[in-house]
Amino acid sequence: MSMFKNVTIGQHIPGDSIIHRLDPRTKIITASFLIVLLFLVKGFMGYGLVALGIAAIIGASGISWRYVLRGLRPLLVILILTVSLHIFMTEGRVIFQLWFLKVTWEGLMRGLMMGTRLILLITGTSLLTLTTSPIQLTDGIESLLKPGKKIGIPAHELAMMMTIALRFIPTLLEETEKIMKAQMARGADFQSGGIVQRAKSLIPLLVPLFVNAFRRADELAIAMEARGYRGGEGRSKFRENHFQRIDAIAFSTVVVFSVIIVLFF
Amino acid sequence: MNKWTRGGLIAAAYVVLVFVFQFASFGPIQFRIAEALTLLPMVYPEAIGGIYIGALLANILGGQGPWDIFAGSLISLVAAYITFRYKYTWVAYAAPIVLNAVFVSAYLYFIFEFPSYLLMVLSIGFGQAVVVLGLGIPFLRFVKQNQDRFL
Repeated sequence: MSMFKNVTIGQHIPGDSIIHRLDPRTKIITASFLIVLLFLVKGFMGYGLVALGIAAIIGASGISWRYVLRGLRPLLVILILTVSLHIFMTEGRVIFQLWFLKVTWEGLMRGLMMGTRLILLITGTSLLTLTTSPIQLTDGIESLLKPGKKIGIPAHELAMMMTIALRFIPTLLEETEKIMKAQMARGADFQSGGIVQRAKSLIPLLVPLFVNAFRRADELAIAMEARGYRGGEGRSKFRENHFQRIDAIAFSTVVVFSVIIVLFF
Repeated sequence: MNKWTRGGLIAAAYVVLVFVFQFASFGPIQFRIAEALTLLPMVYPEAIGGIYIGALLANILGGQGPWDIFAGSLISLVAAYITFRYKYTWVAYAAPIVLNAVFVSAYLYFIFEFPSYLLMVLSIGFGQAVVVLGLGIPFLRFVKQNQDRFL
């Protein structure tokens, strides 16, 4: 039985909705827009409109609300902590007091604002990873980085590294499990001792994992060269990204929507 | 050629370590075991890209929010470059600890508006120091000693 069966990696949900079919670059740029927008909006009315916009995108993507809201789970503790800190620590008109804890009107408002902003940030941006496969995301990042080639950013190579990493994550995960079991069978103890001792005890895991990864990297390099891979220059793609009319419509809608919210709310 | 594939595999190893030790890898109090790899640029320059991509993927897949994806990974990139540029000086060892402590705390403080910035610097710095010094240094020593034999 796998030790890491509870390790969840990636959240992509395949589909054929209009949102899934958008160019990954459109989605990356609009997600960045959303982040900036949420920091510019200052009132509940504005947040309400952004929430409606996000709800419309979720509806169009055909992804169930359950999945989207599940993205909030890892941040739940930090979310509750942040909101309560604001509610209890802000000075102002007291509306409720229990022993030394007092809730002020200003604190309540600030806590609710912060909570709403965080929830919208997480749900909005998780739509990017939910509707875009990691490979598409890599392609999108590569083409967005292309202008950086002039200042020496190796866009193609970075994207290739990303694709290789994504391909080998499951392999290395399996190998890590084998190494851990093998080392524990030899008496390795990853659990006891002080903090530094525990960190040190991971050396018998890290070393074989690393040696294995490098061996695979060298084999992969030989295999790629044998198949004629010579870098990004002049290379064609099986699937190409095309900026289509639907992308232009989606992009301009988001821009107009954001400008209206920032100017009027 | 193999430097790019090595970078890719280092990135994969980083992500795997983050997820295997997922319970301790995110948030204001963290011991990200994968950060032990941050000293590798001293021996392998390709690890700079590998660590950046690894941090980027781990933060995308981790679903901890956009700040981790954009800012967190960028901090890892800058730290890895400094480690490479000032290899074997105290700066190289301090970069992944100090940069993460100062800047990760800064954006967490800014976004979550936590009450004490200094407390966050100390807590993140402590976690980083334990992993980088306690695990990273012995690991780097092994890699250097066996560079010709295995790698």
